Amino acid sequence: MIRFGLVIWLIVATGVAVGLYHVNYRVKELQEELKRVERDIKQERERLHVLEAEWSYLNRPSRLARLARKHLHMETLQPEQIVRVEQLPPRITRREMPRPGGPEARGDGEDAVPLPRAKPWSLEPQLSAATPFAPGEDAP
Amino acid sequence: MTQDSSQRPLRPCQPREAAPPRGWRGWLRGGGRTVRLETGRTRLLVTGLVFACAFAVLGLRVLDVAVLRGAPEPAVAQRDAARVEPSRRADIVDRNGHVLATSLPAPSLYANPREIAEPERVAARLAEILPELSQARAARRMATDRAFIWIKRGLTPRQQARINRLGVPGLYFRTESKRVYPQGKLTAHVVGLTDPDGRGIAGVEKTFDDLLRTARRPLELSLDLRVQHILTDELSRTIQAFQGIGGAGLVMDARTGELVAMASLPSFDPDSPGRASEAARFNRATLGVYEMGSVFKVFTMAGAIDRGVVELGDRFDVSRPIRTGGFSIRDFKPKDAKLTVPEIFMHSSNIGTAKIAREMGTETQQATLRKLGLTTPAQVELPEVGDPMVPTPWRPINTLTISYGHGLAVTPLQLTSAVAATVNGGVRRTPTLLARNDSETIPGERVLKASTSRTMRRMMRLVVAYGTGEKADARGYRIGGKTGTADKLADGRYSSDAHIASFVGAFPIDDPRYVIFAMVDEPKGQSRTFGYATGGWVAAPLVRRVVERAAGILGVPPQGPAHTPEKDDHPLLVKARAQGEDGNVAAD
Repeated sequence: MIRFGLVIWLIVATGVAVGLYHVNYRVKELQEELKRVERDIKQERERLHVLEAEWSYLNRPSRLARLARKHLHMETLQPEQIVRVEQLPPRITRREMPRPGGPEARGDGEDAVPLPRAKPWSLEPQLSAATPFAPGEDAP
Repeated sequence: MTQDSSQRPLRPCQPREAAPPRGWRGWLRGGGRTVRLETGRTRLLVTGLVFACAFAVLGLRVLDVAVLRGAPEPAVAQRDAARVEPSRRADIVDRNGHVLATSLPAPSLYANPREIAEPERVAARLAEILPELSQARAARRMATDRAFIWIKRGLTPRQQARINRLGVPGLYFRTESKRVYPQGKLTAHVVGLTDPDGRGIAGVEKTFDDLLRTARRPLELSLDLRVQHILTDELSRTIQAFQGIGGAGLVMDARTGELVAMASLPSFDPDSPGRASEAARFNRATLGVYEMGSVFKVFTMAGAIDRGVVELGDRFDVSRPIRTGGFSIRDFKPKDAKLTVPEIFMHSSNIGTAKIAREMGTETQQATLRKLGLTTPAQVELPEVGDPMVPTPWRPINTLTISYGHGLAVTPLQLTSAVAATVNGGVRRTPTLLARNDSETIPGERVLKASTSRTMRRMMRLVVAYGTGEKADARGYRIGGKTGTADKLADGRYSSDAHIASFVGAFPIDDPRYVIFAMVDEPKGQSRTFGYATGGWVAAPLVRRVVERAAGILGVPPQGPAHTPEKDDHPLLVKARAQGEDGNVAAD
């Protein structure tokens, strides 16, 4: 009886020792992995940082201006080209410009902005929520 | 197992046959053997119980920690904040987050001279790769008996690879942090420099050295890189067109005192400051002091109007030069008339302004200039700040000449800041290079009445609409300003062919958001400007172009074609004339 107990205890002790050994090694392994990951993170951060500096270097205004002159054939923005939203020409109305297949522009929201393919002006009075001309007609 | 132990198993708590204690103890107890056994047993039992309790407590505690209370492993590891040490100097960025200065890891080359066999040959081969290296000096240093010498700090990756390929023993690399300025010349004067050990030695790098060492967040400046580029670009074009020797420019937020752009030309490359000349390292915008010429009339007028010394309708005879003490004050374009105050300002009459200053007196002039911060060094986050040159003693003749900007030399920064105070409603705010958040209330000091500021804005608009600053009239933006052309002092005499041409303007002048100053040092007259190199011909068009290009970026909407009345119908001129004709002519 006593020997049986002793054997059980010995088995348990051995089991615990082996378990502990494994856990210990696993922890060491994980610690090494953590170190590796942290080192990688640090390296990535440094690389990111270098890239940020390069991004800033490549985005020097003088360089952008030179590239724009070379490739874009655009002129400097003139004050006349900036207008307020209220100064924009009237938008396309439903009556004048039915859009085949496309969803009807609603007269109450931002989605009513005409697409560039439509002619950007209208001789008809503006029908918008801001300056309602015929509110009943344009309501959704 | 031995024979003995098999017969008598190990039972520590069982009473055992024990020999009676010998000596005086045994004699004392007197053969109470059973009693002694009982005592021993009880003791063992108590000790066992105590140990059992202790182990039970430990076991329960382990159970408690491991099973009951111990939370499961966190799914996401938390970064230990204490471990992220600020390993490198903090970045400097502009108000939109563009990097102006950063620290990058860069290999540095060092040598152990004891390991180098042929210093001359090694030095020769290194000099091929590193052009800035002095071959003779390197050879001499490598021939010493030291264990460590720096050869070159902050190599490029290519240089490192080539040196590695030499395969010379005794040369080593160490990765160091190198300060890099991606914007180069563009912001060199503002951002400044660090020495190879990473200590700030100029500009913002020096002012905020301690902060940059410890901060984990980048330092945000008030500069806008795009506006800085536009200002620098226009300034350098103008300097080139007029063959000037240098120039300075400033764009300041009139409401907050933030410096949106600050340029000083010629500039230098902060990545190789050793090659820059002394003139290029010099910050003309904050360190250089200049006699500004007619732009100073802004302050004379503001002071006189604020103190009620003159009315707008007062007339002054400008037909004859003023002669005092062997010195005569003349006008650049003489007018044979009595002019009202706005007309004097519009046509930039030195004689008229000097007469106003005479009415105002030295005390009032000094007080006005002091309140506007023109007699004390500007406060800004740069170590390079110039002291104004104030005359001592301040004689009556100084009062006259200072009224039109000669005899008192100030920095462009002081001037811009004072003009900002004049046009923004009369409140002076400390200029700053740090970005301010919108919620911040900026302390200011009232230096002029709001009504004076309003009058000055209208008069500055007159200058651009009809006067000497006509070339600053931008399309879409109403600019007001004042031109200035100052003779430079050379060998104690005013030179007739070396000038400083400047213009200071504010836009939109009805409610100024930004004050722009531009100055060109020693412009030469060109045939297309009919030989003129004055503030109106040189600096005014520069400011116009800066406004036209930068206003959109600064978020100032164009005002559309504003109605500009004919000159003779302008209310300010009409009103002044009417007042003047009422017999309110000032005696001069």
